[in-house]
Amino acid sequence: MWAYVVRKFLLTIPILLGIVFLTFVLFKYIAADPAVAYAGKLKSPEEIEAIRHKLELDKPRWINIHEACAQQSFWPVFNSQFFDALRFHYPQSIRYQESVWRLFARKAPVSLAIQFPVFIIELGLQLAIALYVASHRGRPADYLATILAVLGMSIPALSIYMAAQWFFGACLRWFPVAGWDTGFYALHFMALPILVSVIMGLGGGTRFYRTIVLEEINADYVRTARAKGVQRREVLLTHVLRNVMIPVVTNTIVALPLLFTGALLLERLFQIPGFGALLVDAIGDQDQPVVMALVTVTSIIYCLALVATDVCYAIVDPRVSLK
Amino acid sequence: MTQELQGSNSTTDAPRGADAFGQVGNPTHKALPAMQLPSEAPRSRPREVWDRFRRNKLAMLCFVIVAIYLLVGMCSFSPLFDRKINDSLAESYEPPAWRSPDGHIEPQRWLGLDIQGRSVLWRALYGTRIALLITIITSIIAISIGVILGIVAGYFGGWLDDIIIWLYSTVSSIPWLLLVIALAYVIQSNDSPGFFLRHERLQAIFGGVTTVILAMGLTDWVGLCRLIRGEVIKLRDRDFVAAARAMGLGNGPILFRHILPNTTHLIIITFSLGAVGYVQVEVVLAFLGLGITDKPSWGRMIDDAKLELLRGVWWQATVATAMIFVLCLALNMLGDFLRDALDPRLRGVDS
Amino acid sequence: MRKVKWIFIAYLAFVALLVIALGAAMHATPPHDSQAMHTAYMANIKSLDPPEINDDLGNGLAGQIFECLYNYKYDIRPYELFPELAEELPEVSGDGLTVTIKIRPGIHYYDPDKVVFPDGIGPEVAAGDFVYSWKRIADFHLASPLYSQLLQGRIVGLDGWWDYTKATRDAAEIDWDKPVEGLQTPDSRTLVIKLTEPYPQLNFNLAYLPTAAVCRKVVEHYRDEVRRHPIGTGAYGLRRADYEPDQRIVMHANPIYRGRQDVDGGAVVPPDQRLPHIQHLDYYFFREDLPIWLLFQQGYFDTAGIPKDSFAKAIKISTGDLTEEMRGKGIVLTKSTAAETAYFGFNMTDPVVGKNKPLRQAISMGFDRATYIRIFLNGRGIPAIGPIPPGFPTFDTKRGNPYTKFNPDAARQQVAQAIEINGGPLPSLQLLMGDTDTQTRQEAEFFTSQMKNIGINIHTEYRTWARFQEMVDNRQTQIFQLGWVADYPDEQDFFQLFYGKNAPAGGSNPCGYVNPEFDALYEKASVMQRSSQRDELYRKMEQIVMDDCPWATLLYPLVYALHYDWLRHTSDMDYGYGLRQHMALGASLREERLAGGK
Repeated sequence: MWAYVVRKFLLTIPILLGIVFLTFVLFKYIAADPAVAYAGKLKSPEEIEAIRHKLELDKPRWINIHEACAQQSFWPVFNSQFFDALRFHYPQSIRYQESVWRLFARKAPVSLAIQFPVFIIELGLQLAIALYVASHRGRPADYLATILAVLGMSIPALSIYMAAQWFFGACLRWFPVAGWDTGFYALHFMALPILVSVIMGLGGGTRFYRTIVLEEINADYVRTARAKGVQRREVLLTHVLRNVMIPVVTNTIVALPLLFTGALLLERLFQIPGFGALLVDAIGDQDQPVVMALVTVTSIIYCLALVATDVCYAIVDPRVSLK
Repeated sequence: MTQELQGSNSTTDAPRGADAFGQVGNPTHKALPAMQLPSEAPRSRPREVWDRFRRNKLAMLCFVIVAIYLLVGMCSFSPLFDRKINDSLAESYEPPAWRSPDGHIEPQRWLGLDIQGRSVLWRALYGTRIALLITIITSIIAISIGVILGIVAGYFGGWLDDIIIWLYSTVSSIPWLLLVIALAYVIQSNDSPGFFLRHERLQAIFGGVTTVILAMGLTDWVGLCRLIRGEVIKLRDRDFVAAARAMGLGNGPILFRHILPNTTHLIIITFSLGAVGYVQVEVVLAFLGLGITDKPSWGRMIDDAKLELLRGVWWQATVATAMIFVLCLALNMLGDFLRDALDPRLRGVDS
Repeated sequence: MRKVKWIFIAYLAFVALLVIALGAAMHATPPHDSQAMHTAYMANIKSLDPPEINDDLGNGLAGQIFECLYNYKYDIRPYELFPELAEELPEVSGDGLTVTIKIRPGIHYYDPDKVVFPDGIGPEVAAGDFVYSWKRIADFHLASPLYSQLLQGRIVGLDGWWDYTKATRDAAEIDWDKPVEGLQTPDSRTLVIKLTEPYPQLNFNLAYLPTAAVCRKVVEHYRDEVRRHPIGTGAYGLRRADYEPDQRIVMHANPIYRGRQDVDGGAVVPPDQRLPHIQHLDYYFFREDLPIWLLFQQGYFDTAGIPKDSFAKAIKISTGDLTEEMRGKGIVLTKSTAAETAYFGFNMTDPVVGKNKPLRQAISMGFDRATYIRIFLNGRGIPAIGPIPPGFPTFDTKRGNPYTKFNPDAARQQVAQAIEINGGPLPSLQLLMGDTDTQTRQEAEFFTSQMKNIGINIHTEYRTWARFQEMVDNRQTQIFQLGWVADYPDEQDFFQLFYGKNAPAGGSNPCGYVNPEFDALYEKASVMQRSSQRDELYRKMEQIVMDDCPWATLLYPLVYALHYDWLRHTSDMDYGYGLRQHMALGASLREERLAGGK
């Protein structure tokens, strides 16, 4: 089994390289030059040159032969933009004038503060509802849940957020329309985004868990247990739930990295200074270091989470073939 | 689930797993009870599907709705629409009303007027054109890439397969919405749509929508690619393919006449469910300021309404939301139905 | 089964706790300091280190902390400079090339964190501080966006310094004591500047925040972090702990502040009578203007602008003044002109638009500025005449400009002429906008419909601000919308935008406009101090620009600002820093109002 895990990780390396390569090409070749945007009102070529130097844009893109020759040694060849990206060295954020990692460390907790409660609440609710409707399949409750879920997934997220802001914030005045604060008062601003996120996310997850539960319920062992006279509820909660846990846990592992990136729209509309807002702003400001770092790191974590998922499956489910 | 990043593409889609190791389909299907029969490649079953279709009233309704949208979308190419969306009936906002101030019934006012006094009704109907363009062309791009890569990977195998697996694993490692936004900004800032400028008719039809289309089309092929690859791998070892080869048919005809038709069910399902995602993401992109066109689109209308709502102007946001909502609902249900009808693996699981 | 039950109960307990916490927090609002002035800001703060600041917000914030050699007298029009850290106005030699400035004695830096200077009091400001500060602007590694605007090419030897810093690969190895010929300090209180050519606007630049006095010890101590530790000589200080640029900034009064020269003369004022009156400045960050507006109405903020969608609720359209409701709350409206002109610029190097004067004039005449101002700005603007806005001595409302008067018929005639010059029907013209939000889109649509009315087709492209600037610089546009805000009260700041030498791509002349007649007048005026002859030259120059129409000048924005009556001595100055020290808070009045009605 360990051979499987090792092999898995080895095979993941080309993908991780691919991610760095893809984001690099995307932002260095296709995107526009960020230096001009940060020059002052009257831009002189000297100024632009200095800014480019600060952004490390004057380094060669792939390999630095020039410097290697100048210094008569081999290692400076790797002093290039691409190899910097590979070793996760990024210049400072243009807008914040801070190291990208410090920025992440500052913003990630804010996103987490919203996403984590949402995740926990949603998970419990979704599982509970899924178990209920799956065991009452075909009955009115099932149809109702299905309809509500599909409804929730058909309305654009933006509309729901805006409606919630208007209704709860401007009309009822229960919550502030947008904003953020530190410490205890953050809760004041967290309430509405959490509420809205939970409502929105309920539909899709419930449908998904319902499918999984249904697969289990149709299994032989369930029928056998029921035939033996075991209560439906006990069957559900002991046997089915345990077997359902595998996909639930793997789904959780996959969803965790996405918690950091937060919900981009949500943070923008509710003005939460989190990870997602950072990303959207950075793309708009052409803050290249931040965008590259963010996309690369998120993707790598996501990829590793998926690999972890498969490994979990291998550990837990002996039926999985090891090709 | 963090819906936004994973895209609300399909109703029961499992997380897209990394299967750099040849695992086919999504993880949940590994847990299938042993009693189910291995999947039969559906041959010509339009008859069967049509019968199921006629029996299911809901599916018929959804189909009719989608057809209506399609019809309106096609009509919106006429110059009549171009005129009506720019006609200013008043200086600024007017709530929905049956009649005009003069007293006669004016359909243009039924859904209110926007900031420049233009008819929200006509603008919303015009929005179907943008939605149509986006869904169809994006789907064409994404499906083409997915099908080609999927078939090549599944049929030829070997190093070609490895490369394509690497490619889609890499692309799918980047959360989709993130990738779309990044790509859209990058495309827009590069004026690639600018080359349309030289051809005015194209410019009139497309405008800034090319950004949105390219960004979504170039990134959404991964799911289909995987599915098709899996299907093709199963198919290539089947008897009828061996027989065709024995008869002397080259790879080309085999691909076109035997393999491809057996993957059409996947294509149809993907199209229907993918369209929902595209329409929804267009709203997000409009909010972020991408994919801007001179012409009204639903995403734009909702975004414009952000501040209007707090001022008490509710009609533009509501109308655009309703248009999107009904279309997505219909497509979702249609997609569910098609999946039930065409993809045998899930039969018996969903209602 | 039992295990599941316990997990479930634990889960329920957690959720319940969360809900209760949220519910409790719902009614908790952050404390409101009664001795502080509360305002909101919407932009991002990059840095509070003077050589790096080139945005309004940064200038406004750092302007409370740092001081320059000169500053503008508070609430005096026409604008007048007074010596702030200098002792008197500069002494200029006969040929205009040598400027001597004496520094005021006894002014110390204030370190609120007491890290660099343990008792909080830094060294006395010396002439060498300015030399150091300006060398930093010209430091290649710092990449200051103000270098070309303020100093490049003007001071003898400074460009050589820039080359020196570029040649030094490691920024830490720069020898800051290396002399620059044009910046000399014969003694610690005298600064001698040698210019490459006469520069009458130098005084204004010496009143511009990036040239403020910066303490060398502070920079050497904090190095890269110095942008988050502003240590200056101004009325306020900022502790590191109070500085959270994405949320909140709190400044407090500088206990060793010597007061402003224009208020106190050179006298040493007793601490209780010193400026600033307000002890704390509280700034809050918001991205959207609507929450700010709502909070302002609740009395939480002391000043605010009026968001477009709430305009009708605040201002009565018929009178143009505040509604009764607002006045009853004690809100005061101030209207003022900003030294700003908004315009549609034409790319003069473009074959279609640049060579076709009737076309540009037609576009300018075919646009209904008054309606535009009414719909999109709620009337907060004056239709423009020429490029020079009100507030400048040569601005004259009686001077007309036929090309900025709305006249669709004349415009259509010009279009006919334009077609002839073009040698065929006009193609669709590109309008480039520098933002992608709702307001911009609607404005572009309005422009398009106006142009359609006179027979010109427009297609609009929207870009982010960064990309927009790049495209304008590289002359990849035909028509673009921009504005220009003056940095100092001299019309030259606008005229440099039309100067031929600034026209090549990347220069400060956004249209690429070249006119030798204009250039000759510009060069003549550029070495003259303000006088009636120079005003004559300025009028001639403006006339040339109005005729040639490289800009379809749009409007001069009016700024509507609201503040509560408990905030006194406000002003609407376009230039100058450290303004808040003059304002005063009637704390008891505020308490009364907040308690009484909400």
